[in-house]
Amino acid sequence: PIHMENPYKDPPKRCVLCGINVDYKNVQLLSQFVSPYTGSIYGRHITGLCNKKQKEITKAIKRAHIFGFMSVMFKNPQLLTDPKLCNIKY
Amino acid sequence: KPETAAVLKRTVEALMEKGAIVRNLENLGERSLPYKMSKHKERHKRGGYFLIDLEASPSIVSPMMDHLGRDIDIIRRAFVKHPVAKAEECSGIIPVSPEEKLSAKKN
Repeated sequence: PIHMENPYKDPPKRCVLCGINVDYKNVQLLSQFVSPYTGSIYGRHITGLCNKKQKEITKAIKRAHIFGFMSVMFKNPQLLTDPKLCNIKY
Repeated sequence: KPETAAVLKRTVEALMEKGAIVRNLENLGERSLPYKMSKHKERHKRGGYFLIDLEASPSIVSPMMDHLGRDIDIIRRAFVKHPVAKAEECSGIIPVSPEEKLSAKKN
């Protein structure tokens, strides 16, 4: 028998941001991973992102807080109607 | 509006004096700040956002932060490294077998 890698394997699962460049300037993208009530950043078990992207997002969110792009204690009310990326039930 | 132009001109000239090469200056618009900021004995609610593309030696950073801190018209200042556009190789979530997770591995 010839040993070969499983040809029926599915391609590796991609997370939501798997190709998108994360920037501290686009507040809309960053606010999708923040709670609308408290403004706290969602953990990895809620967002379902890979290691790298989660780290990048947290760093970008903290930067946006300090530079004055994004509010800290809550989510901008204009961005409340964005599509839901995290699997959280209110 | 002429005041913002004057502020920008002042900062860019100060940067060029220290020997920085200004590549680009972007206006990210004027909007109400996400939270009220008090700076130089004044509470600010609206502000204009500007982004200056720079090329300079790192020894400029501290004196520039001092200089910008003394300017009354500047509410918040920050220097950020240019993001190296490298995120094209994201290969998706690699499934980790639970045995590897159990074996205590501390880097």
